[in-house]
Amino acid sequence: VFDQLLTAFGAALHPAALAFLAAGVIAGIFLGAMPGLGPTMGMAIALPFVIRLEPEYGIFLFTAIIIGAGFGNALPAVLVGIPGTPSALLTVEAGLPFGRRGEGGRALLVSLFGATFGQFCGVLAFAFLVSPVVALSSKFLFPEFFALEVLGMTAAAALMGSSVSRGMVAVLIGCLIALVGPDPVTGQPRLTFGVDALEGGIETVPALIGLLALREIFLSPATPPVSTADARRRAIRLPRINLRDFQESTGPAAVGTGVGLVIGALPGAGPTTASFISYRLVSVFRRWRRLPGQGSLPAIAATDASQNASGTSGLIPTFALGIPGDPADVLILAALTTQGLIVGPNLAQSSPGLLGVVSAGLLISSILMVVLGYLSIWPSSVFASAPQRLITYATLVAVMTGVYAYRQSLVDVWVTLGTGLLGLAMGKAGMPVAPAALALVLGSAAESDLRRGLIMTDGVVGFLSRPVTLTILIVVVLLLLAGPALAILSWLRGRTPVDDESRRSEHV
Amino acid sequence: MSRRVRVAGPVVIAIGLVLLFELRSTPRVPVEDPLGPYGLPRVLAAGLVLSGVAMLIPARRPDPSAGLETESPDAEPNSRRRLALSPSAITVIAAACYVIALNKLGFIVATVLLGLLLLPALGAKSWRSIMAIPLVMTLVFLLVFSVALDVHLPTFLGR
Repeated sequence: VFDQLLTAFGAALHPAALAFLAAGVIAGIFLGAMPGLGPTMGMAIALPFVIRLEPEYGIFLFTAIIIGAGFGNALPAVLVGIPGTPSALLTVEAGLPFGRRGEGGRALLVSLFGATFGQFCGVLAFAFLVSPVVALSSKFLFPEFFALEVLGMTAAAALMGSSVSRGMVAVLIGCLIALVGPDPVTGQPRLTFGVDALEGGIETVPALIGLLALREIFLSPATPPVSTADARRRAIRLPRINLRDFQESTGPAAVGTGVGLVIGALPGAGPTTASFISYRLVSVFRRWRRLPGQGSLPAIAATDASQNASGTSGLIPTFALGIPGDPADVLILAALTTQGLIVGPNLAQSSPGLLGVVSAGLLISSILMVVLGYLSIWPSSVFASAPQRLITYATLVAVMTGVYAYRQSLVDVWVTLGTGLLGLAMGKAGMPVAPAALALVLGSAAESDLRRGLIMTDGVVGFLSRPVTLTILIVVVLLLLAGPALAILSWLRGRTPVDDESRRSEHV
Repeated sequence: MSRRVRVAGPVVIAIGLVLLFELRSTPRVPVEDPLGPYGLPRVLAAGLVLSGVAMLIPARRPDPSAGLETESPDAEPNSRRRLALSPSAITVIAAACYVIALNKLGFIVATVLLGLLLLPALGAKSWRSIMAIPLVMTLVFLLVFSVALDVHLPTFLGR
């Protein structure tokens, strides 16, 4: 074990690896701090280049971006009241009053403390749990993998949207896009509508970039403008460390971390859900309850610890089972599979040292984030007040050119534009886009596993007689029925789920 | 029933029906499994039709919260959407025109033109910025993609 650790840290401390880790953390802080950008868009833009790198370096860059953005999103939240990413929504609630009082630095230090706390625990969870989960999954065959893939997509549909039916529509759309082209067993083309360009299928990378990045660019001009003067008035120098603030925040950070570790490992739940639950948990303790308009350091620590722990623990199902936790993990999975790495049980055999190297990279990224995060507090007011139209123009060109560079094909650029418009339309119809992106990545593999599993088990009865498969599929059915069942119960009690949602919003 | 469900439900049903029509005849290829190449796509397309119907059904009963719309984490807030409509539409049109221009005019001309048209359309006032930003951005992207990454970007009229 010691030798393996030494090898892993040796690889992660190589100058080139360190450069990717540092670049990833800086890019992550920047992407998180720019309202309208976010880590998913940055990773989507970088995806065509990452797949040309050594797999370790690509993973380092992407995981470091996630880690950097985990703190970067708090910078505009505290300074100008705009969450860098949706998971920082409650950091605005808890941190903006500090920014308004000129104590933004104090709030950001607590945010950095919470983020680091959550990340370190998440990294430890990854390092200790990923190998056992990989070992467990090595006992799985086609039917179990099909069931897991369906579970991932269903969980995303149930947890990422306002209704299960809309989430399921998103999953079905993603699956159907993934199934365009040759059938994985016979090679027979499907869903091509007679278009020759579709005979080979729709390339996953450009389609993902359209769904996850281009759609955000289409929406980005709508981000509320920030007055440069206003942001600079709240600008702060490097803040002093106050140990009492950290003492007050340690308990909430631990609570948030616990929530984040559990939520992050569930496919589809993601950091936003984790931060909402942590905020709610922290607010039930009387002495942590915020005074109206005063902000709350414990709440900042809890929400930031939970979203960061969730972001890191979400990598466990991504690497061990090939089931991504959130859209950023979908891009990591896409990068790995495009490079020919088969995640899950085969990963331990095909790339035995990779998981250790990833753990070491995550740990080093978290350490780098403490230093780089602290140094980024001072210039962050400039990021947060960058003109949105400039960001829209630059990212639009970066996305389109990056997609073209992927295979030097204008067809890919059209695919990106098409899926970007699809994502926009889905958003307008109240459908979450992330489940569609997940289905786009998993759909083809799910079909292949289902059909090979049916051949292997001699039909549906044999397929369903496998205990693990049956158990997972029962969970899938329960997930699908939970939403409608709760809605019926609420309706019978004389109120609608919408009322509950409104109350939750009011509370927040 | 909210307006977006009134529109989205029938659209989802229509897409599902179009896909089922495309998958109407089973290809004659030897298959070992009971599903075959069209089995799963048919199930998913039928699922799309049923989901579209499910989106419309709850609206048939009296809805005391009519007018209130729950927001998914992905959906943009109402206030943002009201503000966004016009700039988002401008960005969509600009993106489509940019893809067409990339093919015909090449990377340099298309990227500069995009900046010259998009920046003022999104509210840029200073002509100095409107002229300088597209030129600087194009140069930066050209250096990154063409020089550093050796990508053969589209050229003017394919020359």
